[in-house]
Amino acid sequence: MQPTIPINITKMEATITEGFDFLWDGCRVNSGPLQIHLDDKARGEGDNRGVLDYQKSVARARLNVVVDLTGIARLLARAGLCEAMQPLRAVLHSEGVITQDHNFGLSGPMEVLPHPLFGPEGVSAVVLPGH
Amino acid sequence: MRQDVQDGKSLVWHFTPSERRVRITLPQKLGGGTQELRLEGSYSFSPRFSN
Repeated sequence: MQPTIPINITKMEATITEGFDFLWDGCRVNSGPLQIHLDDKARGEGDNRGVLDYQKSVARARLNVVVDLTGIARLLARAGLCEAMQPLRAVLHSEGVITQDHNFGLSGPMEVLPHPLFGPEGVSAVVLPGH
Repeated sequence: MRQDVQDGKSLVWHFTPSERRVRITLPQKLGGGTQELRLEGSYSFSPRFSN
C-alpha cells in the first residue's frame, strides 16, 4: 500500500445553524445560519488539496472556503445599511491524526481574508478537534 | 477507509453536529468576545492520482 496518498477536497457543504452574536449600533443581534462551501475559484497550488500520510499517521489538508453572509446583509439592510456584502473567504489549514481504524478528522486554524464587516482588526477562527 | 482511498473511491466525512467545533473571536467593532459554534455538514475528498 502507498504510505502517502494525495487527495483533492471535492466538496464541502456545512452550516453553522446557530450563527454568531455580534453588536451593531449597540444592539446584540444574531447573524442567522451561516452556509459554508468550498471556494471553487481557488486555483492556487495546494488549494483544496491534502495528503493522507499513513507513515506518520497524519492527515493534512488545505480547504479554501466561502462563508455566505447574505443573512447578515439582510439584517443590516433592515437597519438601513444597504451595501452589497461579499462572502467571507478563508483558508482552513487542517491536520488530524489517522486512527487505527483509518479514520481521521481535520481541524486547525483558519486564515480569514480581510472583509469590510470585520474591519482592520478582522475575525479569527479555528476549527477544533472532534472527540 | 484506506483501502477505499487506494481504490480511488470518493469519500465523505461528516462533522458531528453535537460538537462545538468552530471557535471565533470577533473584533471590538462587533462587540469582541469568543464564541464556540456547532458545525453541521460534510466534506468529500478523493485520491489525486495526477496533477
